[in-house]
Amino acid sequence: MSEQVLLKNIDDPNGHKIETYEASGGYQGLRIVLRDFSPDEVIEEVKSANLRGRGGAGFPTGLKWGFVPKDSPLPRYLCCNADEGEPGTFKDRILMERDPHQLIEGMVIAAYAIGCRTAYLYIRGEYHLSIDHCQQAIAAAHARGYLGANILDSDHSLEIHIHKGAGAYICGEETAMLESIEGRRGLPKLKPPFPAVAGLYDCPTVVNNVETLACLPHLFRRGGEWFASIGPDHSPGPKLFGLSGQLKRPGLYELPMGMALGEMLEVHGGGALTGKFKAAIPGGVSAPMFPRSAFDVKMDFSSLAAAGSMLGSAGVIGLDETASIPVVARRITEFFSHESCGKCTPCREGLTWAAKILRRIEAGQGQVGDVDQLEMLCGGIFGNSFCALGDGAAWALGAALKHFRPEFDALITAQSQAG
Amino acid sequence: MSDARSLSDIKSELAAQVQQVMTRYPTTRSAIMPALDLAQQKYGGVDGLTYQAVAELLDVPEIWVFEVASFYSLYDRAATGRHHIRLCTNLPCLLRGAEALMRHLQQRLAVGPGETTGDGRFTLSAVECLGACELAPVLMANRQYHGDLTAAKLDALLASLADQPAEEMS
Amino acid sequence: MVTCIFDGQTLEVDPGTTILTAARQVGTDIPTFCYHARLSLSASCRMCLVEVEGRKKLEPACATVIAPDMVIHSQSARVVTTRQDMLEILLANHPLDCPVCDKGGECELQDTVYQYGKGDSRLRDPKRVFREADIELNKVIVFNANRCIQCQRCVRVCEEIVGDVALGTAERGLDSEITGVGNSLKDCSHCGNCIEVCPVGALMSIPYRYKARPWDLEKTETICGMCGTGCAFTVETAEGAFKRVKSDPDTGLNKELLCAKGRFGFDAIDGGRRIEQPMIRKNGALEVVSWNEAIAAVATKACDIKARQGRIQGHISPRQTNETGFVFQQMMRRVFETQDVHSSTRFSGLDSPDAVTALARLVTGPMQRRPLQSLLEADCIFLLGANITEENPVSGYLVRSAMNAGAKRLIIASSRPCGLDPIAAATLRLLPGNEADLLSRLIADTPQIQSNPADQFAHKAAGLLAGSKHIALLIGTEFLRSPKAAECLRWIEQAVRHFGAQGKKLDLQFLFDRPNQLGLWDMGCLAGLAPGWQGIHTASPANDGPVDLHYVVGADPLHSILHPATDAKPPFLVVHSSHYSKAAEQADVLLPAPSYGEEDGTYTNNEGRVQSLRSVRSPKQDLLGARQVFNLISGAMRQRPLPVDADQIRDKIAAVYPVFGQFDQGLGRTVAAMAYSWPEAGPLLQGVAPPPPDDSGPRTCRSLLSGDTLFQSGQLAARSSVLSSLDNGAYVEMNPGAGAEHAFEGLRVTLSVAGKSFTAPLKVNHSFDAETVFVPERFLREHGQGFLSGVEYPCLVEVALSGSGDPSETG
Ligand SMILES: Cc1cc2nc3c(=O)[nH]c(=O)nc-3n(C[C@H](O)[C@H](O)[C@H](O)COP(=O)(O)O)c2cc1C
Ligand code: SF4
Ligand code: FES
Repeated sequence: MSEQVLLKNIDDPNGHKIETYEASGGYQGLRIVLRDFSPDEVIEEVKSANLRGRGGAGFPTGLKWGFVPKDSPLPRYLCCNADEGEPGTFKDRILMERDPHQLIEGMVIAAYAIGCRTAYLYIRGEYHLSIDHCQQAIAAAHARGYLGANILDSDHSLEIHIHKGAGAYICGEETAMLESIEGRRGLPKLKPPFPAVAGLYDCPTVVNNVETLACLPHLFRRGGEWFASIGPDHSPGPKLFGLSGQLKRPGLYELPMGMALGEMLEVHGGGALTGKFKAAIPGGVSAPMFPRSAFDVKMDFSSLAAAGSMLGSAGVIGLDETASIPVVARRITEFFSHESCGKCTPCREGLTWAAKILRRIEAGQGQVGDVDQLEMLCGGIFGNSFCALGDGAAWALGAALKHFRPEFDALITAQSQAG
Repeated sequence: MSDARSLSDIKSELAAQVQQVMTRYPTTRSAIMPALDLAQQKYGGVDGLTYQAVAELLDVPEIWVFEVASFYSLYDRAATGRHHIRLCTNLPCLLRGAEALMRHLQQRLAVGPGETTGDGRFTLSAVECLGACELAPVLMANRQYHGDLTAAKLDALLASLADQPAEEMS
Repeated sequence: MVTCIFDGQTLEVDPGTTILTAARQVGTDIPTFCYHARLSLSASCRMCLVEVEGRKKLEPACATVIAPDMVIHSQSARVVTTRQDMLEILLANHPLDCPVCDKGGECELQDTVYQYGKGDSRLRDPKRVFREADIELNKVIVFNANRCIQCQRCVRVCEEIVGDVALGTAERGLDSEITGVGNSLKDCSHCGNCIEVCPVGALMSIPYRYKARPWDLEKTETICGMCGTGCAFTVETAEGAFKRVKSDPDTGLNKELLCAKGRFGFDAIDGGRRIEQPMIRKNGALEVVSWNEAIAAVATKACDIKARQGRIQGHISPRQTNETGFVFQQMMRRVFETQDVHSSTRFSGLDSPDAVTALARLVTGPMQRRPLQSLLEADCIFLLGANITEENPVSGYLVRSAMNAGAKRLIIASSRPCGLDPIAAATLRLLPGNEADLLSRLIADTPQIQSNPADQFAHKAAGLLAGSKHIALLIGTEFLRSPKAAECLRWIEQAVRHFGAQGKKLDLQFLFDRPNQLGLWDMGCLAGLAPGWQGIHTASPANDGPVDLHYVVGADPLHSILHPATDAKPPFLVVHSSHYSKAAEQADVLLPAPSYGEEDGTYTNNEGRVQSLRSVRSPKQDLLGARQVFNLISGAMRQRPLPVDADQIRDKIAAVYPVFGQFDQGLGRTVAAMAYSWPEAGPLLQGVAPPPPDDSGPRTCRSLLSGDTLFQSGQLAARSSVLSSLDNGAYVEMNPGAGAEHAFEGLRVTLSVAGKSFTAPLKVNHSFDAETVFVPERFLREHGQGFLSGVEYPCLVEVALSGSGDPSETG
């Protein structure tokens, strides 16, 4: 197995304690940053290391930070996205439960880079243990001078507040998350203006995922070059993959990007639970599924995008031969329709309608033309919804219809013949 | 919930903690979610009086509080049982038998999803992904995750919870 | 300028223009639902998606700013199909109950589907029924959840423009539902703007519900008669019966906006008790007589008084038209030969010639006759002595939306709390009349900072004003009721000069609570003032003696003015009015008149805009118009005829007042361009002595404030049964000091002064100061003890709280 960076302390029962963290090199990256780097240099280093966001879109982190206006008189905010709700994804929870100081240190570094003094850590409400451990980590970091006023005797000061989510997947979308911190319903906001310019409280704001931020201490302790040397050039750095579904060894794996999907499932995931794999979803349920025939696709941002899917949250879900794709499609669509915020027409109305048709097909009341209706709905939603939730839902359903249409047709024909 | 308490009781019971929470944000509106959470921890859920109390403590329109309370699914707006069982039924869990477990739970508790047992012990909910798919099928009982579930494990869990008092919430 | 290619056509647009705006400028229709010009962008309905070359996704035209060289297709095949898909998806769950929907025939969804829809739907599953029954959110607003398309226009108008935040959204996703607290609307000002902006039949008006089909209605565009804002609206009737008021997105300064009084108060035309026939008091009782007899009685009495050089006084209600006002003052001045003409029964502060002079200098000088909207472009808006959100709600909405538009500052100094206080940078509660003192401190070179709130406010406001280049000063008229009116007017003038000298642009307008106050002054309905703001220097023989004949048009002055010394003989009272009032009951001659809504004419609003009032139904057959009666009286007194025909009168007005009706052409031809002969303002005023410090200690006396509210505007609103139902009877509003809410529940307040008393339930409002108490004018008037008749306004009253009682009984 390759070197474990992010998961180094993950099996240590005291991994969440600051002592453990410090003993394994923790907060060294921060010391180096405060000693050797100006904020702009931090941004440059992150750019040249080519750290790409681990929250879903793979956006270059340094570039995002660079959009924060330098001359704005307004306060700047850093918001850590720990709302992790994409089905198949659990990496951020494990990081926060078992090694939260990586995140805290990463937040201090990111805040330094963008000149932020108040950061919010938005953790989904179900993650009680993560919340407790992050809370403890914040207190411990405070006690050691890694947080609060004049961190490690520098000019940099930072307070981190935890904002608890309350059960809304959409709040993982960055602008919805900002709305949620402002005390509103979690509806995505119009862009532009982008958060970097006018985000939280209309002030310049950076939103980053837990894993993205957790990479920073390592990046600075061991250098951008070291970071860039892991994995393919366009998608470098340590990466977590959550393997779940119908495979023998579900779990969290730190693997370099660029590995073939099939290898990941067979070698690391231990193979299909029953028989062979039928299909797999590479990056959480919003990512279009691949049939087994496409399992040689490489698991990195660019290759997956080129193959018509995405790395997303790197939650890899294996489906074996016992899985019914119409059922899978129904459940995915139900999820998105349940989590649709309701703001835009196509997602609010279209997904619910699609779920209705899929339930009917599954219940044996399918009709000829149903798949066409579903395709029409996917077409109406995809690209036209306000935020990526609707897009993802339509994309995911579209892939199921495309690769497994015969399964849908079979259910429908069986019924029309019976009836 | 907050029954039997008056608005001013609730306000005074929450005031200190809410004041504390307000200091974290530049606007009082931001404290709506934490304030609802505090109320839920105290009273086991939120209702009309809670919204009014929170609105008055934060000096925001009451409708803002209600909007938030009803948008987010973790605020319990109806009374729940002593133990709240939230079984994940999302894809990774579904693929590992969550539907059968749901049927099992429904049978054992004789309630449907979203309902509370007659003795007020259990509320059963089907929920979206809990973010613990490596443990699928998984549920959350009160604040605790239980994974790699089987029917037998469920029975044991129900038995161990049955006579426990409601978990200390905060 | 930015160049783009829109549907093949090269366009030059201002930077920042959206695709939708550009399309509308060139007359291309792009369908929208969530977009509303007055509201923040939502871009959520996705109806307006268009193709922009080089971008993968379609872009919402409403929210996409045109970038240089953008190539836009708003009618491409892809766009057209997407529109059809959006509509199909939107209609999937929308009930097709158009035949029983109040919105049928004027529904944006219906129209859009007609124009852009595919004609059929591929979605065949049964629609979801959200709710079986409609929800009555309050007494005027009902909600049908099934029809809602979640455009959120209602929620946005309520929060962003009206400022109520009464509406919100419950749940999420497809379960999202517009609602208020507990399915009703807490803090709702019942303006119904949510109904107006709703594109479908989800939010509906209860008074109008199931009353008519829109295509059967006869529409009359007219002007609201409630306050000086002068909103334009359309009155819709069927077979002469009033059905509803609608507002138009393109008309008037209000466009679509109306307040509760405007939208729901028009039923007043069917309320109240009409004066049906001429009457004369005979042996103490009013008896019906012929027009001839009534007119002869007035003429004889007037000739008689003129002959013995007695005193005749005229009062005309500021709800009368310019045309009637102009002829009324002609009758007063030429026929009755008196200068004693008034057009407000409340502005006793204008009884002094000094005050009139100062007023005239303001109106002919700094007062702007320009659209309010252009004043609101100022970087600082100063509301002085105006209770805007109660008395001129729509002006208040416009101020609020101007505030949304950018970095502006709002300063408020008013006697009552105001809905805009929370967004103001500085607020002060001050007693009417103390505007003078405030201004004197505000423009003092070195405002001393003391601990008193007025000084702190003055200090803060002075700073805000100093940092502004363009100030809009909007002044209320409550101070005109106080004996300090002249002083206030002169300090306003001085403040204008002060800021002018600093190179600032200062725009001033009044906020009148009556629809035609400015117009009647323009027409010369004020002692000492000829039409067109010319001074009257040939003063009539001074006559301070008791009034011998009082001629009242429309007004009800009894509660305030007519207080002859107890031993004096009451004047001969002529009441010429559409409805009964306290004054009418005591009249010696009662002359019926058409009411608001039954006559054509013009009103001049606070902006100076002369607007046409149209009759929505004709008055009863044998009813003579007021001007006809004036003319007959003149004839009976063997004087020259007075003009009756409105067009002819408008020509006469224009002859003495050339700017009349020129608002829209206006510009250079301002009132200021005319020559006036008002004496120059005297030397700079010296600071006003601050009001005596209040000797704290237990106080039982407070200043009684009165005026209009959200649901009230004098007698007109009182005749509306809808508005009356919203008030729930009399109340006394005040700040009783700190204390738990329940401690005040069920309390009643008794106000007393000089042997008079008034008792009503307490309405707690902690935003009032501790020195004042407020009772809506209507209740004081109905109570009838002449509470507001003292010379002092506001008068000091003894205030006592008492335990709960039956809240329905008052007095
Ligand atoms: C519907 C939706 C849900 C999302 N959920 C998450 C999430 O749970 N966690 C996360 O980090 N990013 C999530 N994202 C992506 C965020 O919007 C955002 O891109 C990300 O937090 C940025 O962080 P990064 O640059 O570090 O990846 C979601 C996006 C969408 C559209
Ligand atoms: S796609 Fe539209 S309705 Fe769906 S979550 Fe995004 S904004 Fe909300
Ligand atoms: S009008 Fe543009 S999205 Fe609704």
